[in-house]
Amino acid sequence: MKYAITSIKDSVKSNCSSHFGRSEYFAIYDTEEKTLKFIKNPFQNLPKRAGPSVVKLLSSMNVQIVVSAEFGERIKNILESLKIGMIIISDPNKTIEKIISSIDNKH
Amino acid sequence: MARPKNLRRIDTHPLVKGYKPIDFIGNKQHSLVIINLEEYESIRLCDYESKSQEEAALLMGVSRPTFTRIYAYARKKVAEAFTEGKGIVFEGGRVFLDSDWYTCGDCKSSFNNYLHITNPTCTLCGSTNINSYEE
Repeated sequence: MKYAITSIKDSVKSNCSSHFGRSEYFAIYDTEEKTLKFIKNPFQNLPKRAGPSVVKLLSSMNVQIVVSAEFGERIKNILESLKIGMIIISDPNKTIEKIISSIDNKH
Repeated sequence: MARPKNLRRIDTHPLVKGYKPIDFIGNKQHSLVIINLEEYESIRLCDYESKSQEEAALLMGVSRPTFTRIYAYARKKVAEAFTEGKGIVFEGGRVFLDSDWYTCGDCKSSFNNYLHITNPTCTLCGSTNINSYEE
């Protein structure tokens, strides 16, 4: 199962981004291979429709669940129709590291 | 003033934005038929999932007569597109997506039951200590 976590910096110590489409980085975590890689968001400075472009990119990478601090209304609709799960992190101190460890504990 | 329409619940968006006619015979036309999302949903429920209009109305959160009206419009539009060689676009409509959100009591995150399973667990930490999420 592949998770995409929005991230402010490309390190595991950074926090979740609160802008899904305009997040600086995405941490792609694969639970089967236990691999984590950071990709820079190529659509960060797009004037509009950054979110849908990101969704297209992530779904082409077979991401099944996205984790962010917030999602826009339009993105929720798109993700739902693609059957991609959403997790909203409400704790602002939760770093990428902590999120991944709780995902690992589950599997 | 007319009474505002109630929001209709739909399950998913259509997979495509619309349909284009292939090789139109006669003068080239570029007209389109606009099918609302609630009309698309009514065809999906009635014809694809073979539900009765009563069941479908319940699923969409409207009364049975309203559903029949939506469904009638939908069929009328599809028929118009077929006979007049028009394209179809899915657009608009007073709809909301049916999503069930939960909050986890352990990791304090919110998540949606995106696979529509009956006994969901937290997708982040796998906890069963979850509550239905009220906005």
